[in-house]
Amino acid sequence: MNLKFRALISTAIVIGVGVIVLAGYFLPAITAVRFILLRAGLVLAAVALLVGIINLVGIHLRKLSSDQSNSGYSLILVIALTITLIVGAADMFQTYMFGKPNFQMIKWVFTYIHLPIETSLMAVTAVSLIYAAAYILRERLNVFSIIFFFVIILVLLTSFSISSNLLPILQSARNWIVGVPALAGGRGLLIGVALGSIATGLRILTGIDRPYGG
Amino acid sequence: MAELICQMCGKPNPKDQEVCRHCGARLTPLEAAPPEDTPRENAELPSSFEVPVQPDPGEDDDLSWLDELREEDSDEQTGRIIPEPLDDEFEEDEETDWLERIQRLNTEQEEDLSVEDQGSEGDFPSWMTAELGDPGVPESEPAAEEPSEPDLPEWLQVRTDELGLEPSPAEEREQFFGPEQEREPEPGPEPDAVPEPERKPAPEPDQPPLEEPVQEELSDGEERLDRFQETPEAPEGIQTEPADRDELEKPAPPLDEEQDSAAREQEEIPERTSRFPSWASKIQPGQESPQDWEDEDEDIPEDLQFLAGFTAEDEDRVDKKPAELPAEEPPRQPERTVDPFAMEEEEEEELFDDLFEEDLPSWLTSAVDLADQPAEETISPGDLPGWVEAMRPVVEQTDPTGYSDEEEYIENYGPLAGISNILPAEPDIETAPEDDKAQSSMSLSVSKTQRDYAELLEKVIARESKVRAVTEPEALPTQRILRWLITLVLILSLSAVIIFGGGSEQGEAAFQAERFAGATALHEIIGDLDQADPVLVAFDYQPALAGEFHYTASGVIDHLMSRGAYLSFVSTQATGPTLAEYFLQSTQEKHDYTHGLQYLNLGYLPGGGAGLLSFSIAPQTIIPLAFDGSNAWDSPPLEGVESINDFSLILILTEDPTTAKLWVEQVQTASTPPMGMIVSAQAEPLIQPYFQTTPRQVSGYVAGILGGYAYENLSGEPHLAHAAWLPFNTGILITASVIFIGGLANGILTLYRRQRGTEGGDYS
Repeated sequence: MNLKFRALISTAIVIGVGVIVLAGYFLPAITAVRFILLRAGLVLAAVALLVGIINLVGIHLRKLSSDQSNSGYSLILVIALTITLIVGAADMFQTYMFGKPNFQMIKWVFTYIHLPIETSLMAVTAVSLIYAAAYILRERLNVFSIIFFFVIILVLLTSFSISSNLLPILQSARNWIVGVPALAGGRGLLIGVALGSIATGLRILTGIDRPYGG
Repeated sequence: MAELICQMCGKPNPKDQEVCRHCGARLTPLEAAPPEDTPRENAELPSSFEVPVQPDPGEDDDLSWLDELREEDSDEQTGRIIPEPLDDEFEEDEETDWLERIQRLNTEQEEDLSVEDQGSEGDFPSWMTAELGDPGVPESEPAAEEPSEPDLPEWLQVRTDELGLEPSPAEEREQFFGPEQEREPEPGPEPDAVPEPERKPAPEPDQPPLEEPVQEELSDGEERLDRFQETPEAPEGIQTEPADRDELEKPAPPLDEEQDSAAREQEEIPERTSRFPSWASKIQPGQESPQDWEDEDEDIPEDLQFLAGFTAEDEDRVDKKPAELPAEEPPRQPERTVDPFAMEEEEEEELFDDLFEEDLPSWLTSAVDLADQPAEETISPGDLPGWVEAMRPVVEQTDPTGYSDEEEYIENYGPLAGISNILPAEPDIETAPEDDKAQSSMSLSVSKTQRDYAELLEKVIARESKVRAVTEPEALPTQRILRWLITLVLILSLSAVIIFGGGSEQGEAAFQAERFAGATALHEIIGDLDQADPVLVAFDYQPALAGEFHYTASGVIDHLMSRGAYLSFVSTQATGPTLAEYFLQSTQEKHDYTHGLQYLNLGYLPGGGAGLLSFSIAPQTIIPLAFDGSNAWDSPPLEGVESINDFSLILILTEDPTTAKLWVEQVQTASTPPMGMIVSAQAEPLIQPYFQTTPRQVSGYVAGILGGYAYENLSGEPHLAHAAWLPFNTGILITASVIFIGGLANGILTLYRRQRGTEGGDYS
């Protein structure tokens, strides 16, 4: 291993913290130490969120200064972020200092700006997905596409409120699809994710992977 | 022991070797007769008749004398290749033998030519037709007997210099006499047409007697010998040894005369008279000096009577000393030798013209002028002389790539052409660049192919550096129409249903128990809660899915509030706390829950999995304050709660299976309270495994509006799921219909186009 001094320190910290937190699951004696480390990590995560916001603002300010294309969207983002930050800070100041109703202004921003925008985007996504599903047999007409196409139809129809007495076969088919192939697929995904997480954790604990640099 | 120096690699080989043992190149020319069916048109014509070709014995049996000469001179020929120290005593025997052979051949040729005149093929003698390009004619003289200077390969000259070998006068004489001896017996009916057979018409029927051309050839042979003696300064690397050439230097004066004649050769050819040096006319075996030759003028045989043209005047000129020569004539330099390779093509042609004249050939007389010309100016290194090309093994090959049918590579270019099993080289490497610019010493010498590649690369790079506007492919009108059609159908139908439809009645739909087992289990857990039991509710879904979650979770939360449970909201997403407040305000106003009294918003929990783990270990330490800044753990909703295990129920609202997995992995333990989930319909397949385990990691779950509808049915209190049931079903029906119809149409259209063998296209 060709490690520099700084990398050696950072690697030692990461490995030590990881080993302690992992051992805390099995050794109750070190639970207190593990908790201290977890709290420190919690604070760092919150600070990282703040750092991320600052970085985002910096990137869009550079786009504005460089007069790039689509810089108007960056301007909108900076303005919106600034307004929301000011409103949130003011709301927090009022709430914490004067005991007024908690975060009324920020709730207004969320209810009448943030939520409708995201919901509208989801609605547009629904229309696009419908179009894509109708177009799937146009792009690729093979066995898997045909199966996928008819499974979509089946699940949608069985979500319909038609009584299962009218379409018992479809309902049974839907139950089988959700209970067998979908369940097996879900379990396979979860097991795969778990194995990948274990492998990644071990590589980080042993210093093979150093995503923190060094 | 004589050795053969390979002309390719310059390394010595035994005399009996036919192929170089170092590089595999042929050392001796091919002498095998070619197949008769080989078309003559496919053969390459020699550039000029510098390559002495041995006629096919089958065609001309009268040329057997060549075989004899070859046998006799075989050692001398090999000596041409391997220069040996010049013998101190230049053998007059060779000269006299040579003259005797000329005499003998002269008589034989008279008979042969008389037969050939009576009608050979195309009125050309066999030796001439052989040189006209019969591909099968083997090459008999590989060495540079009469190479033209432009065709002289550079490597051949360098080899001599590098080896430090000096061609002896005997070798040079053999180089000149060798081809002459082979050509002399084959005089055509029109000797002047020999060097340029393709430009000369067929011999005229009324031709002069053949004796005269033969005599001219013989005289030219002697003239060549004379010019050989009056050599100018030899090129670099070739030196002479005048001490060994006493006998040859003595008859030099007549050669000076021939130097003068070289300049006037073109004009004087028709006017020349028969002249011959005295030494040549007097030469006899056993004589060692010209004085001896003069005493024996009367002994000249009849066959050499043509040498009688050497008059007394000529003899006087021969006797003149260099100082007596005209001023414009350069002094004779007997110590210099003529570079046989430093001859131009025109002079080669003149040489062969002179072979059939009585006068001395011009190549002898113009030796000094030739030597004054720098050889480097006329040498084109990329061109192979005809005699070298004639040395190639004859390979019938039609594949331009150089590979035979057996995939055996045969070189097509360069000095290794015709040799198989060698590393292939770039064909155009051997070709000279086209323009003068590329021939500059400071510039790279690139071939045409390399230059083409470079230009192509330059174009590609230039094209990449250009900024091109990427035009997005415009959607076809039919696609736009289809999208707008789907949108309008959904909007209109759902709006109509929402406005004019209304909700559904409880128990309208019959639900199968196994399909909604999660909802049933969750309903039982909530039903077991007591008044004021603390329940932790995590709002971990995105605001975009608020519509689905409001309709799905409203029945469950309503059930909790109906049970009088104290709710504590927490979120691992930044928008979660506000979303929780919005949810309560929009869906549960009737319960009139008050913050800090019946419910508590703990706010945002950062750190992802670490935050959840920390919260599960010590919730009071991790989130000491509520969302409004109040002391959370002293408020009624969290009264008596010190750890995560003190909650009666943990309910997670999320659309992300990963978030659900984190909650299960970090919070759920054997001692923790039951964990229920309200998830989006899309996450149901990944939540099912946690529910269907034993013991259940997820005690119960509600998935999608359909699950919420089922839960409301179980609770007996219709809520938002029932209110949205008809629009929801209508939207699903329309969606399924559009997908089915559109997909079916596209599938049929695709099959139809496949059958017709067409591709692409759009809805039509």
